[in-house]
Amino acid sequence: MAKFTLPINSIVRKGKIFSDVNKSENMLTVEIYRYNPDTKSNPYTDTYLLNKDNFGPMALDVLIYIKSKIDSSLTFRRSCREGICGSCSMNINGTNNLACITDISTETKLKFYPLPHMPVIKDLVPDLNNFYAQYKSIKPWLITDKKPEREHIQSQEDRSKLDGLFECVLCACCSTSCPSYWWNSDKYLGPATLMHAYKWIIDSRDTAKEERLSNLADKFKLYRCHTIMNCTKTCPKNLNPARAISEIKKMLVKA
Amino acid sequence: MEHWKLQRISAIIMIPVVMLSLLYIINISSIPYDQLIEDLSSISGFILSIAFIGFILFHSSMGLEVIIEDYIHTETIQKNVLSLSKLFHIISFFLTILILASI
Ligand code: SF4
Ligand code: SF4
Ligand code: FES
Repeated sequence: MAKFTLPINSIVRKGKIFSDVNKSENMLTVEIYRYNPDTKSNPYTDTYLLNKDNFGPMALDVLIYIKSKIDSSLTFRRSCREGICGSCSMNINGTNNLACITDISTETKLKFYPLPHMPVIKDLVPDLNNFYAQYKSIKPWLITDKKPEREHIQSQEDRSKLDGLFECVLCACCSTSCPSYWWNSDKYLGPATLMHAYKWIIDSRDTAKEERLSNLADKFKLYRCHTIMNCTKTCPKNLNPARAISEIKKMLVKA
Repeated sequence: MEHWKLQRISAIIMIPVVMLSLLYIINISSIPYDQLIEDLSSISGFILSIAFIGFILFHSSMGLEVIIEDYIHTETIQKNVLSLSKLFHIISFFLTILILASI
């Protein structure tokens, strides 16, 4: 069965409370999911009462502040801190987002959880191996039998068809917000991978369109998408994976 | 994929069929009993009723199939539940024909 409840050893308990704030100050209450695989104990949420004047305006600034000033064991992924590497994807106040571009200046309460329905390695770091393997399975590289002397030339018009697709940073916010992906992530490719597949299908330089399409024509790989549209709602880069998926379905109807 | 296509096509066909049938059903209280029996046992009434029930059952069977595949992951259980659902829909369809034919 699809799992609707957490296994006993994954049930989240209450953790410690840290405070470095006086009541009169600009207070921010932060709750963070913590899990340490070494202790073999249940995950718990730690609460931090912080003075907002001590850090920058983005959610990632809060995490970096806590890690450097309060608890260096807090674990999360980050790199570019400008929304381009896709590392800092997590669930913030119930929505998947990139922490580094999530504006918290008007928030008084924050909840940080790892991306939903993924195995957790530690704290806010989910295991994305399956996600990357699925991405690899669609052959995300140029397939062509042409051997031009220099670059593969593309007209401006054909190039513009890739707008709204190539900007994807593979953060997995969309896939891990998709209920269909929650229930069947072992077989359903999920919105991120499908949108990349679509990008290669419509790339004028690529000559493997038919092969790519027929690889997707599968009950589980593609058709588990039930057009719920959580993917499009959540994408921090404002892309539209749901549209890309429906374009693939339309192409297959015509094929 | 055939399944996805059939699901859309059956949904589209259902729009006029269901609308026609609903129009009839809404007015059913103002139709005299004898007229009702006559309508249902007429060729067109018979065909429309079968189409109405048939498309609903067909569409429901396909929809349930997707839901079962979504939520039941143990292969043997999934297979059995899928067959059960198909069987239920097929039996319902033949029962409908039987009942309509006996009017
Ligand atoms: S489509 Fe958006 S949410 Fe999905 S992986 Fe790409 S950038 Fe992230
Ligand atoms: S539109 Fe498809 S991929 Fe996007 S959230 Fe819904 S089911 Fe998932
Ligand atoms: S740190 Fe690179 S996207 Fe947030």
